[in-house]
Amino acid sequence: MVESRSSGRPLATESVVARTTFINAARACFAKSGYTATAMTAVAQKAGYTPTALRHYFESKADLYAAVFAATSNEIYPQIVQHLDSPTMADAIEGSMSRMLEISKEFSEYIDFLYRTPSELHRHPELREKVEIRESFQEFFYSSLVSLGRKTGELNHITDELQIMFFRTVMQGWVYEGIFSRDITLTTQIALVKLLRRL
Amino acid sequence: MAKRGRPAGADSEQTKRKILDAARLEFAANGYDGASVTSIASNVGIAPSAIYHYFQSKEKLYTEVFKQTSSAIWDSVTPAEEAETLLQAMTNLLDNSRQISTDLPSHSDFLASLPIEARMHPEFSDLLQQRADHQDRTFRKLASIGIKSGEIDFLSEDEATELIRSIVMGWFFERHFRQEEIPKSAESIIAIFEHLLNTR
Repeated sequence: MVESRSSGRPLATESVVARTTFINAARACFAKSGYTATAMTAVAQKAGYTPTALRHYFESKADLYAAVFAATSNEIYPQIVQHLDSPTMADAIEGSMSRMLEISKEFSEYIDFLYRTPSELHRHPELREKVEIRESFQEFFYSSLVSLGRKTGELNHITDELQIMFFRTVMQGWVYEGIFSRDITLTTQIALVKLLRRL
Repeated sequence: MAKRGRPAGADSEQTKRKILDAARLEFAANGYDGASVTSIASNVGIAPSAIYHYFQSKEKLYTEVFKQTSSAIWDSVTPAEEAETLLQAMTNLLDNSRQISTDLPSHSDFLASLPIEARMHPEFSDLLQQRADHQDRTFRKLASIGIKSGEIDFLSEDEATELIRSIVMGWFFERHFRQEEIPKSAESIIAIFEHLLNTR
């Protein structure tokens, strides 16, 4: 994000700092109060800038939301994806779920923000196009998982499309129900891995 | 509740119900922080002070909406537990859940956002526990059906309960957030689950 050097604009490095500060402040607000209840002025105040400065970087709340989503998913998604490079599908599921649990502790605000995202998209359909990466990430992740299972012989006989839907359903259910509750999440992870290890 | 000058009996119950219905829609649409008691009042056609007469605070109102909504949903999926096999019980549960989301969309909208609201507002953590109690009763029952019928013989009851919870709630949330159901998703998920249980 290099800014053009027109007169009166901040220097590139300052502008990167300001952008990051705005994104972090906005993430905290969106995570805490949701999209509707987050005001641009509150984000500016939390970041320690004027509302005008915030508007200079992000024209609208929807643009700000898109930027927070991009910054957040760029941090989280690669950490999950690395587990697709496992010897079996059971290992990949075990590894990615363990990583998600660690992330939910280390980056709790990021996870609070991401956890709210499906609700926000449901309430504000205009945000959908701003976060297309979410859908493509999920498609990529679950289809890679199923093709790994097919390659190792863990899965066969059923169409990929249905298996992708099944594993997506279980893992998303695990995220929605358990990501904040360690007891639930560990037990589900064990059960799912046991189910796969029998195959 | 019968104070001077207030309508007594049936009228008062009817007003409370109207307030709860309007509040559910408002909380579902805007979240707890974004919800406005003033707009709930104006949707019911009463003064905001009347809402506080019945429910004291926004917090109390949210709690009451939760109790009413949650019992309505879980009471109507409970008959699904009476089944010979786990797969039949899950099929019934998903069918009922689908029917409820279609008939009472604001109930689903409200309940879907409860976990995050409770996380952000610790005063609602008790509601999260009540939600878990409702769920546990149903999913543990399903797990015990599956173990008794021999459909699940490689998991403990705790593990089976959590696996079933993730499948059912995952289906619910995915369907809810997409605002449309992937055709045959319930049937397909159950078919794949059956296949995975029977393969070794």
